Formats: sequence, C-alpha cells, structure tokens
Amino acid sequence: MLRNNIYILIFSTFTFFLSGCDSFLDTLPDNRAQIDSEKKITQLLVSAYPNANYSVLAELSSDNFVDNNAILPVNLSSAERMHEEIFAWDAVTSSTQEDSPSYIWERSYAAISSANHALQAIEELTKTHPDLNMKAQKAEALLCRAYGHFVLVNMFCQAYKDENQSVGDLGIPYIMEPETTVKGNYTRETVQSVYAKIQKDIEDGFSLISDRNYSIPKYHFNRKAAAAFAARFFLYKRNYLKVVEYANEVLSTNPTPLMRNWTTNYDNILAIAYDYINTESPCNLLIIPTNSAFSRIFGTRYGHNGTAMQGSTYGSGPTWTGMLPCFSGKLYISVQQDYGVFFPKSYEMFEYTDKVAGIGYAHVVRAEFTVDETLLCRAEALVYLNRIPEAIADLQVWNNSHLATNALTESIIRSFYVPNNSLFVKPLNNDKISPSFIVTANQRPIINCILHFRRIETMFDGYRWFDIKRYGIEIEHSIGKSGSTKLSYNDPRRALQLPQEVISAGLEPNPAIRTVVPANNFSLLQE
Amino acid sequence: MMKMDKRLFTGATDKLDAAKTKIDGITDVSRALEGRSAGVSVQNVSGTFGTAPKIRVRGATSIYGNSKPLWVVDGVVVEDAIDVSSDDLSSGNAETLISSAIAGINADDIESFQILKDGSATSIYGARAMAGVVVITTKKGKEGVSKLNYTGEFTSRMIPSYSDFNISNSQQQMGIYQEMERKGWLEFAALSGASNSGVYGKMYQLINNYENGAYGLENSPNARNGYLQEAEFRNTDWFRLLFNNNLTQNHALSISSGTDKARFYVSLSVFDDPGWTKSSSVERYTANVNGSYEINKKLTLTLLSSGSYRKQTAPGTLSQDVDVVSGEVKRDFDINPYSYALNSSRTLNSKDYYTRNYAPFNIFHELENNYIDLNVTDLKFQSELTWKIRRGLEANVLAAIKYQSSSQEHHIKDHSNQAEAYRAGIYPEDATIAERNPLLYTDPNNPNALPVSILPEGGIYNRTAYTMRGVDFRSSLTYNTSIDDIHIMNFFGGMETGSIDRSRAWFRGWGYQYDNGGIPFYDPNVFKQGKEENANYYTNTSTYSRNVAFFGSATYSYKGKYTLNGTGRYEGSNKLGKARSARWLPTWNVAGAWLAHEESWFKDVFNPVLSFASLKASYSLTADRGPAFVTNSQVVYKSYNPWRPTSVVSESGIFIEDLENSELTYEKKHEFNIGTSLGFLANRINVEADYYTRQNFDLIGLIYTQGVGGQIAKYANVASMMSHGVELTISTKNTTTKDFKWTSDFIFSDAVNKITNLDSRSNVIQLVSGSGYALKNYPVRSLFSIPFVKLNDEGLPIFINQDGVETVTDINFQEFEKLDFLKYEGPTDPTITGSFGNAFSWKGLKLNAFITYSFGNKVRLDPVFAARYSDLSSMPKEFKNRWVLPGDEALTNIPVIASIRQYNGISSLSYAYNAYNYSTERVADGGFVRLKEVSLSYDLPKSWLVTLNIISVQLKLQATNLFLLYSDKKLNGQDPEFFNSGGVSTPVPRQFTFTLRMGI
Repeated sequence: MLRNNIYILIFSTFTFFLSGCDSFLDTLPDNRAQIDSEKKITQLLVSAYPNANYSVLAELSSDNFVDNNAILPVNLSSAERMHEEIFAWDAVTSSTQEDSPSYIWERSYAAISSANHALQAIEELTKTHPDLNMKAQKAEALLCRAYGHFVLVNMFCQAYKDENQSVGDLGIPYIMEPETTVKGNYTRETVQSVYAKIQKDIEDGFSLISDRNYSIPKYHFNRKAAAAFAARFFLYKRNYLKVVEYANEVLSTNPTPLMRNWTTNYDNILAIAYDYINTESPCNLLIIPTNSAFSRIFGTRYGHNGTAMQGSTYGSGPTWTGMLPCFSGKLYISVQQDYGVFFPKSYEMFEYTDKVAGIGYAHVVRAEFTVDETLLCRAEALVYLNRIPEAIADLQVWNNSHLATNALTESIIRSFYVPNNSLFVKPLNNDKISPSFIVTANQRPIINCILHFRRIETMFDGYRWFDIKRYGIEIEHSIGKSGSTKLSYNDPRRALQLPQEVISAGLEPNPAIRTVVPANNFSLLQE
Repeated sequence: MMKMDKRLFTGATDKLDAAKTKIDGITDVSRALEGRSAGVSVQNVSGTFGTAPKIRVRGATSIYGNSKPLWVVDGVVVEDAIDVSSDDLSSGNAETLISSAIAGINADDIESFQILKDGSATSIYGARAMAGVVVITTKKGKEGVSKLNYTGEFTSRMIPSYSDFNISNSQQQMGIYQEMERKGWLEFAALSGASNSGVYGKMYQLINNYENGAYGLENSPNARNGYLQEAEFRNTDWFRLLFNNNLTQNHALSISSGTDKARFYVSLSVFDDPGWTKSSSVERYTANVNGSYEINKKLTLTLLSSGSYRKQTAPGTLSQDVDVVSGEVKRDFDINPYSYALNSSRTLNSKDYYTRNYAPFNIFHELENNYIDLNVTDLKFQSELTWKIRRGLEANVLAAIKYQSSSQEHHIKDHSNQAEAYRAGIYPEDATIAERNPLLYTDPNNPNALPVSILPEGGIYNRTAYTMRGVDFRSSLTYNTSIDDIHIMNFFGGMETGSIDRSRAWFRGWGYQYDNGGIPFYDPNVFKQGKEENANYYTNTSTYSRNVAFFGSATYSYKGKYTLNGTGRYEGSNKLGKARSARWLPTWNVAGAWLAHEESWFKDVFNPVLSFASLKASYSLTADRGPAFVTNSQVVYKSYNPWRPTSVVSESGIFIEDLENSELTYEKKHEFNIGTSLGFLANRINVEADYYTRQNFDLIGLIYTQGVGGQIAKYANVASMMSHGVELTISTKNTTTKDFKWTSDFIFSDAVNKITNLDSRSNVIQLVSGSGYALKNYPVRSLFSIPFVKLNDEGLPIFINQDGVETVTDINFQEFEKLDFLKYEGPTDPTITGSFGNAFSWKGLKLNAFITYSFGNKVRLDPVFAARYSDLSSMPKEFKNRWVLPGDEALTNIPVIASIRQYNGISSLSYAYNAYNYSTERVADGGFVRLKEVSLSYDLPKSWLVTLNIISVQLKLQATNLFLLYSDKKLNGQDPEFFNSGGVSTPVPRQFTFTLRMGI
C-alpha cells in the first residue's frame, strides 16, 4: 500500500511539473516592461522621437560653416575627424558615434520602430478591448513615423524634385512593421514613394491628433506641432495650398504675439540656451532633446565665420546694418573671436551617468518646429501662390519680431535682393531641379529674401542645407590652405552617403562619392 | 549526480584528490586547479581575495559568453552572486570582489575535485555545462572513524621590489621632467591652476604661498633648483610604504565520526588577512555540516548545510571605462596601491600633499579615507533522500536553497581627495579653480548663478547590495542491473527545476558626515542637479532565472569490456525571453568504451609491459544559453526617464532595448572526443591521452544589419567556431622503495580554436586592445597590432595606416572596413598549458616541486606612452633610450617626449601615441614557466604521537609563486597572467606558508 502511494506521489509530482513548466518558465528574466495598456502605449511613444541631431552633418555640408584654416593664418584641428570628412562632402567613415550618419540613421529608425511597435500594440489591444479609444496615440505614432522618415529622406537622398523626376532618385526603406528577424533585407524606395508615404501618414495622423494624452505637450506632436510639420513637408513637396492651410492652423490670424520674444536680456549663455527651448514660449511648438556634441565644434577648425557669418547671423540685411539687432548681446565666441561666432541655441547640456567619474552624454535640445519658421514656410508658399502682399506681411512680422532697425517693404526687398548682392543672393537652379519648379522674375527677390531670413532663423538647425538642396544652390567649400571643392546643383553628394555598416550589410549605397582633390603640390624644379 | 559502475564510465574526466591539489596559503580553491588537470587553464588575472581567476576547460566555447565552467558542490550547482563576464574579471572593478562563486568554501572541507571535460561527461548537466563542469565533493563522516583535524596556515607575502620592474628612479625621472620643462610643459601658468600636478606644481604652489611673513619657497633659481634637487634624490619606495609582509592566518577545525546508522562531518574555519597592501584586509569564517542517517535499510536521509561570512576591506574605486575614440582605458580617482606604486613618480615625497582633481592628495591619507567595506554571507541548506526501492533500483530526491547576500559600502570620507574635489575652488576659495572644476554645480535656471559645491560638508556614502536566492529541486531514478555479470545495464532518469532570483540595489548618500557622528548633511542642489542631469541617487534591479530539465541515460556493457552509453536531456529556460519557440532545447550524447585489458588475450600479448589499456570515444551535442544580455526572443521594452533639459519637462517613458529576434536560440556545440589510458610496467607509468574536436555553432555574435528595424548592431546566433586539442597526462612512480618514493606528473594540453563564421566586423580599437577580440578566421580572442615602421626625424612614430600609407597621426581607431593593415600577433588566451610536478618522500619527509607553464598567447604591454605627461607620471626605463636628438631615429624606436609646440601644432598628436601603445612595438610573448610551489613537509613519526593520543602531526613549509623561470624580457617585470587594471586588483604575491596539520 505504502509503495503504491509513493509511486502515485512520484507520478503526480512529475505530471505536476510537466504541466507547470511553461508557466514556470514564463517568468520574465528581468525588470522589463510589457506593452499591455493604453498608458504604456503613450509611454512607448516617448521614445518615438529621434534623439539624434542632424545639425552637425547638415550645417557642415551647408554654407553656414567655413574652414578657419582656409581663411585664417592658423592650423587648427577639427574637434572630430568626421567633421573633415563631411565638410569635404566625403562619406563619413571615422565615426559611428553621436552626430554621425550611423547615429542619425539608427536613431531615426529606432524612433520609427517605437512608433511601429506602438501601432502594432494599438491594433492588438483594440482586438481585446474594443472600447478603448486610442486615436490620439495612433495619431502620434503615425506622425512620429512620418517625421523619422522625413529626416532620413532629407539627409540621405536627393531633394524632392517632382512626381516624375523623384522616381529616379534613390529613397530610403519606408518601414511600417516591427522588425522581428536578425537581418531584415530591405530595398530602397524612390524619393517619390517615400514622400507619398510620409504624406499619407501625416494626413492620417493629423486627422486623429489630439493633445489630451500629453503630460508635456511640447515634447510631443501636439496639434500645432503636427500642423507645422505638415506645412514644412508640403513646402518641400511644393504643395503650396496645403502649406498655407496647415500653417494657418499654427499661426492663426495674428502671428505677432506668437513670435519668439527677442527683447529679453540675459546674463549668461546658459540662460539664453534654456530660454530658447522654453516650453512656455508660444513660439516653440515641438522640442526634441538629442544626444549631440554639436557645440564642441565651435572654436575649432570649422567655424560659423567669414562669408558664412556675414551672409547670415553677423551681417547686414535689407533693414539693418552690421548685425540683426535681435542677436545683440546674444552671440558668443569660443577660444578666439577670429574663429567665428556662436548663438547658443545648440548649447551643450550634460547628462551624467556617473557624476563622480564625470562621464555621461552630451545633449543638444532642438526647437524642431517653431512659429517663426512656420511663418517663413507660409510666406514662401504665398509667394508661389502669387499672394505677394500676404507674403510680405508675414515677412514684416518676422522683420519686426527680430527687432530689425527699419520697417520692411516690398520695394526694399526688391532693391536689396538683386543678383549682384552675392553675399545674400545665390543663383537658384529651380528650373534645373524640375521643369515644374518655376520662380518668376517677380517672385525671385522675395524668395531670396525668404531664403536669407530662413538662413538666419534656422541657423545651426540644419535646414539651410535642405534649402540649398531644394533650390539646387551651388556652394563651394575652401579646404585648408589651397584645397577647394564645389557642389554643383545636381551633385550626387547632395545625398549624404549611407552609414558604412549599413552599406556593407547590403543596402544599396548612394552613387560613389568623390573625395576632395587637394590643389596640386607641384612647384617648379630649381635648376 | 548518478551512481554508476566506474567501469562503465565513458567520458573525459579527471579526478583530483583535494589533499594533493591544495596549495597552502591560497584560500580560493579554484586557484589550486592551475596545472592540475590537462585541458584546464587557470589564469590569475587578479590575486585579490574573492576575485575569480579566469578558468577555461578546453578553451573558449563562446565568443561573447563567458565560457566559465559550471561549479557543482555536492550535487548542487553553485551560482555566482553576480554575473561578471570573463573580461570584467580583469577589470579591477569593485564587483570582482564577489566574482568567485566558491570563495566561501574552506579548502580543507573538500574531499575531491572532478573535472568533466567532454560532452559525454557534461551532457547530463545540460545547458551551462558547455564550458565544462567542476564537481566538488566535500568531506563526509566515515563509518567507524572518529577524528578531529586541525589545520593552521601562516603565510607571509613578499613586498614587490623596484628591482623587479623597470621603473625610472627619481634621478632618471627628474631628467625626463627637465626635458618636459624645456619643451614647455611644466610652466608656472599651466601648473598653478592645474587639476593634477606633482613636484613642479607643488613648487609653484609654495612659491605662491605667502604665510607668516614668508613665501613657502623663495622664487629664485637657486631655491627652485634646491627644491628640485631634493626631489631628484628622493627615490621614494612606494612598494615598501604601501605594502607589508604581515602574517595571514587560516585555522580550520573539523570533527567527523560515523556508525553504521549515522555519519557526520562538522567543520569551522577562520581566515584572517591583515592586508598585503594598505587599506585591504579580509576575515572569513566558514562552517560546514554534513550528516547522514539511515532511517531503515531502504531510506537514507542526508542533510547538508554550509555557511560563510566574509568581511573585507579594499581601496575605494570607481568602475573603469573606455574612451572609444582614443582607446584609452581610464579610471577616475584610482588609488589602487599596486598601480599607484607602479605609476607614481618616485620624485614625490610620501608625506606631502600634491594636487589631484584640484584638491590636495596624499595616497596614505586617501587610502585611510576612501575605502570599500565588503560583507558577504553565503548560505546553503540541502537535503537529500535516497530510497533503495529494490536491488539495483534507487530513487533520489534532492532539494537545496542557496542564499548569498553581499553589501559593498564605499566610504568616501569628509577629507578624502574625492570628497574635497567637490569643494575645490569654493573651500578654500579660488575663483580660477571654481571656474574650471567640473564637479561644481552652476544652477542653469539662474542666469546669475556662480558655481557652488553640492558637497559643502561631509563625504559620500555609497552602498551596493547584492542578493542571490536559488532554489533547486531534483528527483531521479537509477536502475542498475546485470544478467550473470555479462550484460551490465544502467538506466538513469529524472527531472530538475531551478530558480535563481538576483537583485542589486545601489544607493549614494551625499554629505554623510563621517567626522560628525554620521549625520547626513546634504545640499538640496544634489537632488536638483541630479534631476537636471538625469542622474539617479539609487537604483534597484532584479533578474530572474528559471530552469526545467528532464534527463535520461542508458548504458549497456558487455562484461565490462565494451560499453555503450546514450544520454539525453530536454531543457527549458526563461533566459531567452518569453517566446516559447526559443525556450526548449534537447541535448544528447553517445559514447563507447573498450577496456582492452579485460580481454582474455591481453595479458598474453602485453604482459608485463602494458598492464592496463582502455579506449573511449564520444560524440555529443551540448549547449549554453549564450551571454546573459541576449534575451530578445521577444521585443524587450524597458522603462526609462529620458533626459530632459529641466526637471519641469521630465516624464517617464518606455523604449525598445532590443528588437525581437524570432530566430534566437541556444549556443551549441558538437564535440568528438577520443581518449585512451594506458598503464605500463604494473601501472608504474600511467598515460592518459585525449584528443577532441569541437564545432561550436549558433554562437552569439555581433552582426551589423541595415539598421532599418532601429538597431544597426545586433547580437544574434550568427557565429561559429572550431576547436581541437590534445591532452596528455603522464604519471610515473620513478622510485618506490620502503622509505624513498619519487613520483612525477607531467601534464600537457594544447587547445586551439578558430572562428569560422562571424558576420560582424570589429573596429581597430577593439582588435588592438589587450583583451583581444573576435575576428573571422582567427582565434576567439585575437590580438592585433598597428604596424610600426620607424621614428621620423622629429622622433614621432610612423605607422602604416588603414590605407596602407605611412602616417604619424592618421590612424582611424574606429575603422572597421579596412583592417588588413593590422598585424596579427596571436591569441590572448594561452594555447599550451600544463605543469610538471615532482614529489619525493623519505620516511616522513616530503619534498614537492611544482612548475606550471603556459604558452602560445600574446600580451599587450602597459600603455605608458602619451602625447603629454604630467609631473606626476612615472616612466618606465625604456624612456632612457627615447629619441632626443635628430639622428636618434636610427638608434631607437622609443618616441620623443612631444613638446608643447608639437602638441599644439600637429592635430590629433594623441592618436600617434595611442597608436604607439597599440603597435607592434608594444607586444610581448605571454608564455611563461613558473615555479608555482616548492614545499617541504614532515610527518611526525607515529611512535612519538601514540603516547600523546594524537593520530598525526604534519609540519610543512611552502613557497608559492617563487619566480618565473621563463618570461619574455620585454615584459620587464609585468606579470604575464596579471592585468594591471587598478581598482581592487592586485597580482598573486610571492609568499611563504607554514602549515601545521594535526589529527586527534
């Protein structure tokens, strides 16, 4: 009897463990999270904003930076080798750290991945809880997905030309599903199809957007930020009616009180930096903190200096001389005045992972969408819609809020932005970009004014590079004492090369990028 | 784990008698395995108590996993308190102090070690046994023997001596400083407000310091020269000041007894180490109880419990980190006495305070005020019930609970340099320093804010507490039977479950006033700043491991001559994440053995030359779960507080730490083993030889993807590896007479491995740094060098770079496409290891000499070159031959001390010097032959003892780690086994031990 009981005991122990195994093994190996509620989806979307700063690549590619070694009798080192590569429009191979193409690529796709995981979770959660209303989360996820791809397509592809020509330009993979295998194999779409998908996500997202879930709305796609994004997107796509439509959402009837307040006096650089990204300011629509060492560039080999500075931050304009008064008392130098100036909107803020060891991450906070920039988007669209007086009115708002010395009028614009004023007026190659991209002689001075104002407004944000790409503006970089390289309107280097690891993992690279050829080193043999 | 007729055993194993293996004076039993078993390599990367040596059984089995063998004590797996990877073992970080799973085991309690090497032996242990198993059996009471044993060990360690190292003495050092001064480095302006400075900085401070109507030092060439001359002849002996050779004591007492009904073994031990260096000491207490009772003829109950408590002090340390751009490994606030002695200038006065982090620093003061207190408790409760159901059939149930808790308290006292650094510039007030000191706080929200200290009073109290709780349950059934002793069969089956919960809680208390009754006085800015910088002041993390396995094994033997065995195991774990697809894994083994000497014809043919011969072979699949951080069979979400510029806009979120890898699986290994053992001349010569080949596949490797999913670099089962090796053990009884015996043991093993498939590419810095890195077609940990060409006419090093071009600074440490320019040096793990031991005994006298050797690996020399040095640096004697004048490049390869003009003029000059540290010039052969142990013991004649009622008395004198019989001259005193990484690491000392053993 006893023996039987023990057999039964052993047998039942075995069966108990067999059946219990899978649930026993369901224990999670660590304190990881599960996305199983509406709130968790909202939280997941916190990571759907790329924490990479594309300013370093875009600014060094543009005409906002010069090589101090070319214009000064100095031999300065660059802060990072990557800066030398990108300034020469070479492929970046020396860094995969913050600010590098690898970082922009990965962090943008990581943000997209968070959005896609959120969308998947919304779909699954809706199946089990049909009563949940997750429209707002869905809207944010779609806009984040669109935004991540928008950054990528602008950085790594040619500018949008038109429906037909952009079919011929390599785009990027547009990702709408979470990746579940080790090696995803992707093909690059065309710029045209990427733009079409971005448009769909923006429009779908905007129709559902609401601010109700946001604890810190300005760090998320709130309604106004979403509209500003749409306005910029449609400007790049030259869909001007939509630009005006979305921009009106942001600007309301009287944008003046919404504009950035430049009258505040600050005592130090930190105060300017913190106030620039203040969520209380109505001008700030979307703030994105990034991991970036951008500000370490100042005081080194590459500076916002020479013509780059004179044509923008530290130079005259149609309604002011010397320096746009809003910058008075707000420009800084690093190391030496000769090396160029710095406006502390991209000032470094440091996050310590260990205070005692002094290690951590360098951050730059981007004011990604602002009322001021959206205003200039609308002005540009209005010009092409031939609503020139309205465009001038917007420019006047900008002119006044930036404390320009004189009032701005159409005639001042027309007399200042003449072709031979080469510091401010660059030849536009719009017609070569696309036959449908027409700038009439009447529109041209106003467009040049807008491009000038945009350059000032978006200094250190990277947008100048996108404007150069959009208009096929040709620029030249002098490198070192004797080198130089010129970027023609259709230069393949306008699409930055993909990260080297990504290329070797099998994604099609952009066309081979030429390296800078130093000016010849030959001198005559002394006989 | 299972009982089986020894003849039926088919695996490659080694059984070691603990008494013979033990090295007196070395408390960590794992270190005693060095050179004892063919195929087992033990690398003493640090000698500090509690740190684990790097142990490999038949070499590496994984690329990113730790390849650590599994430790099993009395049938229960010993869990590490924390998961320290093999690389981190040599990091010198504070957690290495609790990296040894078996530091709480008293060596005298161990009966034997069994090392399981091939798949046949390990497959029953399943996953985690891929890298081999070390089975420890502790002592038990024996029927009819009652005994009290005492062991006392007294050890003295030698102080390292400058004559063993090639460090410049103070005259040579001052000569170098004078060159630096000429080159513009040691200027008053630069040094008086510098964060770190030595003799020159001190001199300038004295010149500047006006007190009691006089300057600390007159600012005249004569006074300055006098001051420097004093330093020049100082020759401070840091080793003598920081080390001592006090006595460590280990006392172990055990009682054992047994009847036919009950048996027990009880022991206690005390270990006391007052510290080889300043600010280091250990006390350890262990207890062990093992009792068994036969309830009736069929049921036996065994109860085991062991516990240990350890209190240890170590110098305060932070974790090291690596600057990926320049490749520099750094550790802030390092006060490790060994590395301080090696790296500090001998011109410094040991009583003076110099400047570190803008605050006064003196090593002795700092060691007294900045240290780690460690308290470790280790407990195990185990019970085992054996039921002999009928003849041959036996059931066994085992349950065990293991608990370990350790608290690590890092005290940074009020007046330590590390605490004062947070006040430098404020107290005492100095506007220049206040502006420069990065540890001060400036309120970002207040435009007029001046830097303030977040630590106006007190010190910093850090506490890290680890706990580990493991529960094991196993039941098994064994059936042994034979038909007329011709068909011998053994069946074994069972199941087991295991769970381990680990936690780590960390806390940092600011402003703890050690000097003022331990009252915390914290500044609110600590929290304000912490919130702004997203820095935590406490953390608490946990991990949970769950494990279930079913196993079975069947063995058949024909007359004990031919044996065939099959083992299978089906195992599940939660380690890979929640997906059920990845969870379960079958492993198996088939093996056969032939005992030739059992054949009837054997004696006729081979007698008397060959007395014993057997042949065995096995083929197996074993597996391991891969590195602990790869758990993404489903997407891994983590909560986080993203960094935000101000606390007003902070919010918490969730991010994707790892994307789903639906293909994730275990790391696996196929192994073929063939071995033989031969006994010649009535077993006077015993030879054991094994050959194995292994195919490791599905190994976790790093792979670069298109990144479109959101992650460019991913860990996945993408790598494979091949290895093979031979192992040879020859034991001879050279002379055996009544009074004199001489035996020799020669152990040799050669293991090589090669990565056959790895998609990932590594960058230059990973490949050239000392721990080695994985690259396809090379061994798992391979070391490469940047090819050095020569010095240029400025004395700067020239290399071949990634483009095949000669360059000084254009080396891209991040390059990972063009790697062909690197020179392959060799693996960093030794390929040949072994030992040669001789034991002589004459009556009660025993002499033992044990030599270990290791060959085949390369080591990176310490990175001593830099583009700029300070007046604190201590240079090796190599600097004597440095480039000084044009033309020297023909005579020397030691680069120039760069002038400030060169430093400023040549962009990224530091790349050149870092590249030099990682060049072909800075590599040495890691092979060595070490006289590990020489001992002389004397057993008192029994006739003397009988009257005293004493069973045995043994006196023993032993010298350990005496010296290296061979090592590469380029190492110049650098121990090829030891990684000088600072922190809490110290090398294994040269030591002398006196042991008294007594049995009553």
